[in-house]
Amino acid sequence: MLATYAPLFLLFAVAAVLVLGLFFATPLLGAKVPPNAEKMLPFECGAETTGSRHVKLSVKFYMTAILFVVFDVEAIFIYPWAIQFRTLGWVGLATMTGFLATLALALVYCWKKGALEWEH
Amino acid sequence: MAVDLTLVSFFALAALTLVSGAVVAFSRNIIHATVALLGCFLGIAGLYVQLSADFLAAVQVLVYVGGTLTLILFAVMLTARIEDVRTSNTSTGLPVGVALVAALLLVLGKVATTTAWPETPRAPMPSTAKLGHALLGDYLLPFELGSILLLAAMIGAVVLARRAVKRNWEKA
Amino acid sequence: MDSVSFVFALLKIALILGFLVTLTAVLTWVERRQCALIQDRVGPNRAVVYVPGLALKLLAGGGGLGLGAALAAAGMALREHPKAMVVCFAAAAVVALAGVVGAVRVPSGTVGIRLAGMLHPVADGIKFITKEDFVPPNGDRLLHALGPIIALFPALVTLAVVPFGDTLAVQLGAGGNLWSRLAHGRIGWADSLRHYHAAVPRFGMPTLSPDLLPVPLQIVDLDVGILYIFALAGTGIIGAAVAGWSSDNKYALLGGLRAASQMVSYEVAMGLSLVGAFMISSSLRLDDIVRWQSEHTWGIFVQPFAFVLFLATAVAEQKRTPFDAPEGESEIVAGYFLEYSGMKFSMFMMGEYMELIVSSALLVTIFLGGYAIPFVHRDGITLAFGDRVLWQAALPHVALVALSVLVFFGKLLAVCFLQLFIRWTVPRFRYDQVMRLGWRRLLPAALVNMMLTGAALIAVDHASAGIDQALRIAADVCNAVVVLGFAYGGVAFVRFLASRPKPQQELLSTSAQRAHAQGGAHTSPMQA
Repeated sequence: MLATYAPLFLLFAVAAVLVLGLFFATPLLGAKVPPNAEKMLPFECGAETTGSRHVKLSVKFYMTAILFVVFDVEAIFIYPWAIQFRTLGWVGLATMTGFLATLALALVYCWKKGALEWEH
Repeated sequence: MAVDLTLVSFFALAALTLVSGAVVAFSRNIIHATVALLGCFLGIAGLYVQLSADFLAAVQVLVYVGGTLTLILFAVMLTARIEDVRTSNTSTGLPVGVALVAALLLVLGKVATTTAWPETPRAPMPSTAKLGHALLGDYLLPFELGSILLLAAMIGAVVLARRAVKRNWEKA
Repeated sequence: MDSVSFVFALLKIALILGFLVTLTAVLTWVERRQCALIQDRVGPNRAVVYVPGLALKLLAGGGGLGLGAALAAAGMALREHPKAMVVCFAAAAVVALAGVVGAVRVPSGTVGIRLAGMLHPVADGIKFITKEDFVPPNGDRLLHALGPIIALFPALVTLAVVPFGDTLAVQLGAGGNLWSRLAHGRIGWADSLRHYHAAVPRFGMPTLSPDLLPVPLQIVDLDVGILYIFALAGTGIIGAAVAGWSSDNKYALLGGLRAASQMVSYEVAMGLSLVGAFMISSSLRLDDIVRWQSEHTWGIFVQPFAFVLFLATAVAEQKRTPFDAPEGESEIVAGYFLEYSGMKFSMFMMGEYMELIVSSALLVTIFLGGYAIPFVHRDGITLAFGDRVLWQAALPHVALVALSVLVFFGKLLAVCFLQLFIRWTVPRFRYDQVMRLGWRRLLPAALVNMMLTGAALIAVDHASAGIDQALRIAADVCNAVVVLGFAYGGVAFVRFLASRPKPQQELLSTSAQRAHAQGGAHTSPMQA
């Protein structure tokens, strides 16, 4: 186990050192400027901030995430099938066609119901 | 003198999982609790790697971190005024919870003490190809039923989201 | 893990991380140069180091003479090897001469060193470090700190599973522990083995000898291969979302949500677009995929649609133009990294460029043959069509491995260049267009590509021997096309470099024509 993954852990350690070094570079070495009220405002290209920062967000974002989880799980089933495809042959293709047909149905349903629309 | 690195890494991963899990359970800030799930999922993926279930580890990160965690983050972020309500993550139903945890611990303890654990660590073996065979062989029916489950999940999501959109529109 | 493999792992990590960080800096420069070329501007030329000419003269002359003397001394020391001595003396003469000529040609007075704007990444780095560190006072300090870390870390480590060269084989010598055996060993394998190997087919690794230490040029060889990259890339999504949320700014929040939403949308199509390649090579390991391509032909010939799909999804995953709605400055100020300053801001940028490098590496590995070169195999060059061998030449192992590494990085740079070019060619899509393209076009296209590949593969696997032979010849013809294409490209490039472009002035506007009629408008010369 370790012989395979040890280089990976080593890489993670080196990368972590690098990332943390970059992260603390500016706080440690950067200019120290006293804060003022203007600077502490949310930056909006100079326009006055209006309203709360919690704007009403579209539920579409959530919809996308659900769709993603469903198709991600589908992809997870596809990968092991794909690398065994040449040994499974016709049977494998037929089985996966059945599996995908169901999911294509789901995609078509979403499409027809307008879940793949972002216009409004 | 020889430090068993496998053991060390196991304890590190277990600690990561448990500490992140504790943050998820006890943090009052629901966003912090959500992000702490990241450590929890990654720790469990590491444990899978130790059990030479490499495919499962990759899937764990891919689906749980990339998908589920994003989904939860979205859900939390889209909830109006979530941050103002500091008590949004209070625990309710303490007696039921304690009873459930006690029952779970009992079952886990039973499993841990009765299982015949292998004495020697297994050599790492690739598991992806075997999974492919298993999915399309012995477990063909669950595999096909899985697609129907996914279909149901998607239809449910569409119905819920449509209702939410409609309600917003009616209000306006 | 023994100390030998530890040192090898450390060397490979240093190489890959050094390459990533350096190329990231260079790409920022290339991007600005390209943009300037296309828009007919000067481009980056302001970063300059002023050096007294005299110091430069001394440096060039002294350095050249000093290095020449050192080389001459090395030549004297190598008296037993006449060939090496001659090479050393020749090098000494060339270096010394170059130093003297350089010293003469450096103008006196102050000299500004610009290196065509190459100093800009350095200037940027200094600027990033010395900026004020800003943390939004009403934001979430902890998550604000986590954002750039989660965004950059995956980009740094994803290249670990990509093979950047053919496996290096070391024939171990006799005696002692692994280190001393390594010291007495030689790269490549014993001659007898190579002759044996030349007799067997065009590929394969001679694992016959127990004294052979294979060093895979890849940090870690995982069986899940590309799933490791996808999994870590998915982690980066959290970074963008968390950065947007914690910044206490509605535009940052919107940008974070847009970024996360866009990345998850294209991740599905991205993963599925590669399934065809996995089916063909029956593996998720990138080394197996390269091996398949080296045995047959480049992936782009067997999966052309997948190449286009993957390129499109890769650009979308990096949130680069035309898919940069998450940071669209005309709509939401700057997106999810709006409230970051200094190096923390730069970490998001670096992550983006590194993702570009990683996706280019994937494109090269899966579709453009990876480190493989057409007709070049483990034992040398075999120019063959099907079973018909036209020409064969053996090459030493070390040369082959070095060539494979150079070829991989060369292809990688070319694809990076191509990806940068997209940015200056296509305008930004609207956000709803981005999402529609991902879900309604690319995802179904990836699924169709997968099923078609499946049907074609079954047909090929059940094909008669004649068709099989024809396909092998077709694969070699594709290889020949690649070789000829590269030869033509190389010649064209050299001719382009040799040609002197004539400055031509096009006077499009009436005011420009009038100014030209009056003797032309005078501007100060551009220094680039």
